Amino acid sequence: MSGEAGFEAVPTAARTDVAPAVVVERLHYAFGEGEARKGVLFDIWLSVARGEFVIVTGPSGSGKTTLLSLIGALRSPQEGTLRIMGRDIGQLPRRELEDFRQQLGFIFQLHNLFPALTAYQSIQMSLDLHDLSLEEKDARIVAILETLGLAEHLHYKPAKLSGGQRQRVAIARAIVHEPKLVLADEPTAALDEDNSKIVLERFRDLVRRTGTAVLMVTQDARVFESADRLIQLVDGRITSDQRPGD
Amino acid sequence: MAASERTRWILRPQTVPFVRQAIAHRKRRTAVAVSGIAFAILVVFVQLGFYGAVVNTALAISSKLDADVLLVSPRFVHLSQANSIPRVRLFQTLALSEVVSATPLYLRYARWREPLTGESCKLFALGFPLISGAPLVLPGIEEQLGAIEPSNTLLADTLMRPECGPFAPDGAVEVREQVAHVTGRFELGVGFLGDGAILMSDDTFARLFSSHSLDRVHLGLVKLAPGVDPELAAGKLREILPEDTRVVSRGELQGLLERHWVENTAVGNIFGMGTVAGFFVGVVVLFQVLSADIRTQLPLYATLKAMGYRDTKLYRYVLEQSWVFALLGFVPALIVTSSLFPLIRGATNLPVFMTPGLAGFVLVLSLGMCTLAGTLSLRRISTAEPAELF
Ligand SMILES: Nc1ncnc2c1ncn2[C@@H]1O[C@H](COP(=O)(O)OP(=O)(O)OP(=O)(O)O)[C@@H](O)[C@H]1O
Ligand SMILES: [Mg+2]
Repeated sequence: MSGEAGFEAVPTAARTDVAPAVVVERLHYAFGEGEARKGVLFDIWLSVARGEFVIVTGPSGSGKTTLLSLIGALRSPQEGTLRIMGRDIGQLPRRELEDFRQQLGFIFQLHNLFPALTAYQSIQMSLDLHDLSLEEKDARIVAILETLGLAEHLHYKPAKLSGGQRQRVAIARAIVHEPKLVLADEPTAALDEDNSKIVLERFRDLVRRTGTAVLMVTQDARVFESADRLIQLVDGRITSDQRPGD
Repeated sequence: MAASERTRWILRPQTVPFVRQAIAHRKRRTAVAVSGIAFAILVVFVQLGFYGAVVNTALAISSKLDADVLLVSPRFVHLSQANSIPRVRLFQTLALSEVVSATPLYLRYARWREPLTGESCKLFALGFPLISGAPLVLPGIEEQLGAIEPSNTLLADTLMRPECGPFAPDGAVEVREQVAHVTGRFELGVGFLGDGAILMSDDTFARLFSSHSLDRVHLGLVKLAPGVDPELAAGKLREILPEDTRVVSRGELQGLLERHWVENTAVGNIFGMGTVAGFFVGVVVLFQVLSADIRTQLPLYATLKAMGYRDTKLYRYVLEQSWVFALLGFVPALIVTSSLFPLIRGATNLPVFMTPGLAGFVLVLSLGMCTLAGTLSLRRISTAEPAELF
């Protein structure tokens, strides 16, 4: 990996000299064909700057996960444009799409850890895609597991971890490579209040240090104030977009 | 950093040994997969072992013939269906200064009965003039020629089927309903050709097969002066001999026999096809194992895709896994086969041998089998849909 996708230090927060992390214009999305076709997202316009921490909330079934998977290039947009870090991902050939995903960090509603791998190895899988020495990888893995309160569980496989611990390993895996954009779907759902705080602090830290943009779906009103922006999605439409405290 | 610390970093794999972890993590599944594959490889081994025995059968006698050039009938099919040429053709070859000698060899199946047990056997009989020396290059045979000077005496193959005897102390047997005596032994082994071989003088051959005239020769063994090129001499012989006689080098004769045994006999076809069948059984078994494995692991593959792992990288994981399976299955199959072949030899006298060549060939086949199955199961990977993960 090189250039745009590398690990060059980004000292300040939101870089204004580069394209926004996310630009969504006129996005529509529907599942199914013909009669069964069901619109899920309608006329979405959204821009997220680098170094911005955005929370998306809304009732169940409102299309939050669908929006996240479109922005993460896991689905192809049907109508409208999606520019992530300045690249129009609707137009990317498959091979470039595969590489493009290395710049992202996904945290899924289900943790999706590898049963055969230890916490340490799971996280290393993420770093293995990047050109780092083993020492560097090791330092990063140990550091992130420590900050997430998992120092004791480095070499545990998922079967021996609690639900919350698994979720934290999955979070570590998604952010250890300091991605440009983190897409997190209910990352704190399985966590108690203390651990939720720790995770949000990690996100804030990442945003501050590396200018990563975070797009996080959550229903948990307690965490809203951590975000720079709060977006409300109802029935596939953005109904409000505000800064907490506004 | 301490030196030992540094070596730890150097020795550690640069990336997570994903395949090794996956295989070691699911020991039970791995064991099931590997035993299926080991069985398929074992089948291939046994089939190829017998196939090798068919080839060895073709070469058993022909590779031991003491001749540089051979005269056969144009209608020669194989040793027990040789048809014949006039004996005078042998004398004609002596017109060439390159030819040192030309010996007739008479070939026939002989029904043999062990008089004490009544066991009946089918032996391959070779008759030749004692004066010309032994027609086969075998250790200790020349010294025993005196023992078959009396009529109806024979040298018998020690690798004969054990039930064939002879069990009488004086070596008495019945050959074509006449009494004969085994007065010496040699070690040859004829595989699928029959239960064993017997050597006798042309006189005895004429007595036992009274319908056969010694003027009709089945195989002419021509020996050349030292340093003479057999191909060249064969060319000259073709010029002086008429159409009723075909001149072949020893290599050509072996080729003819090998082709006959491999292509035109039931055993050749069965074991040839058995090998192919074993191979495809292996492919199917492994394909089932691998694609079931991929199916249960789809969310993981989808996760890897979402992380930015390329499809090609995932293909490599699947292929690597199938190669590890191939190697893990090969080792027990090799061990079992190596101890099975001596048992088969003991029970059947068939020349089935474990050779480095066979082991290497089966290893290559096993890897090919697993690569093919792995490739077939790759299609499933593309059904891993990262969009379903959220
Ligand atoms: N693969 C799919 N095929 C068809 N319809 C789907 C699919 N995935 C989601 N939907 C539908 O799209 C709508 C939006 O789903 P989505 O998962 O985006 O909602 P959500 O806001 O994430 O809900 P939740 O808070 O419950 O996770 C729902 O009505 C759902 O039924
Ligand atoms: Mg959802």
